[in-house]
Amino acid sequence: MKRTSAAIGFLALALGVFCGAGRSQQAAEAHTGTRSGFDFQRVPQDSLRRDNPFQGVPAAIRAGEKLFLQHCAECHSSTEEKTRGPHLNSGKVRKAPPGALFWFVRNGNLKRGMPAWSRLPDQRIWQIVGFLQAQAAPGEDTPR
Amino acid sequence: MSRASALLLLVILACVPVTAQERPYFVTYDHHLEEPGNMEISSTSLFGVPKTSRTFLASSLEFGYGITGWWTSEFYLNGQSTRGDSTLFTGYRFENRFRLLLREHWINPVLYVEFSNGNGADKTLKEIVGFDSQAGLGAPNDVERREKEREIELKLILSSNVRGWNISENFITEKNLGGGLWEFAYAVGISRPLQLAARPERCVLCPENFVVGIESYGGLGEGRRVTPRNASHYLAPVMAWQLPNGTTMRISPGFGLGRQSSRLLLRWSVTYEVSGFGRRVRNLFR
Repeated sequence: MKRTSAAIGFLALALGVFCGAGRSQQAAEAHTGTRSGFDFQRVPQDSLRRDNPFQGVPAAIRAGEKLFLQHCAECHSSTEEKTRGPHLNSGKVRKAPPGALFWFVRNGNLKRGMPAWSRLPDQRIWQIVGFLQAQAAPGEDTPR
Repeated sequence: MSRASALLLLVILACVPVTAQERPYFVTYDHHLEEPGNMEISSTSLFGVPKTSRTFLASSLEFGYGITGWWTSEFYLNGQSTRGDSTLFTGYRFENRFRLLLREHWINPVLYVEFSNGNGADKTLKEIVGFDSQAGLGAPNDVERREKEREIELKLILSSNVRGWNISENFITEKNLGGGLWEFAYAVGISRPLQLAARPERCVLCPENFVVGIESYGGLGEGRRVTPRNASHYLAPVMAWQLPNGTTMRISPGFGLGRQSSRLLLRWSVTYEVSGFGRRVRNLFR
């Protein structure tokens, strides 16, 4: 009897956690869905000044595209209309300081559902940033 | 199979796999948590060669879920088979990891809280605590399974990323809720991808898909006797191979240091990560 109660309690707790997480996740998705980009105000000044060591290198941009598809496209797909995160093929992203994008990818926004990608080496984050900034605006040819 | 189980299986099969750069360690944790909404399913095995008792194979099935960007939950089902003895289910464990700082720092702390409910026959050895020794692995399963172990475990995980290297330190304490002293342990690890920048083409065997490193773990005594003496300690090279389809394979031979340690603890695992798992499950019930 005691064991059954414990098992029921455990299952109820697990279900509660899952449902609670669902709500917080939905809130995060709703929030990111309404945002067109990210907030540069949070980025430290020294990060804003950093340049992309792979800027304009075609092989690095292609590698960045591969990494983007592996790690980012699930939430930031440029082909699906409805995504969890904002579309990143935008003028704001193309014109952003590379250091700001690097900082944002590395730190994420954990409160709003964007994970920190610090698990990726810096070089790969810069490759992703290079790809994001080399993307053509919709209707243009991709500069390669 | 019930309808709910069939639906759940369908969701897992229909989910999109993602590559998430798994940690290569088996015992040491770093500060990287699951991406929110992603489910990680992992099968981990351990082949143990104690000095004075029979070899054994312990396995666990792990389900990890990213609840938020700063909170990951994992559930484990454990079992083991001892040569010339029996095969049995040894219990479950439920762990939660909370990231304490929301931005990257030089040192990133994570709090780990775990509850496990099993029996004394468990040999998964996810951590070596207190004065655990290889001699304790020798008792027959029939005797060990009668010993109930309901334990709580706390860890302070500190982890840093420096120039492509990950350096992680874990301070561990564990207590059997049925009585006994607090036991202490440590785990440290360092690892690095073989190549930091990615290649433009999709590849399977290229160096960027391999992470290599080394970890060390062991007991630090119990109660007021906090000491590494008379405890077992291991040194284990680790390697992870990440396939582009979202599967990660890991292997680590752990070599015992000192008289209290087993000769060898060979660990390996296969992990599959499915993205958007939570969203798909919720959609089933709408």
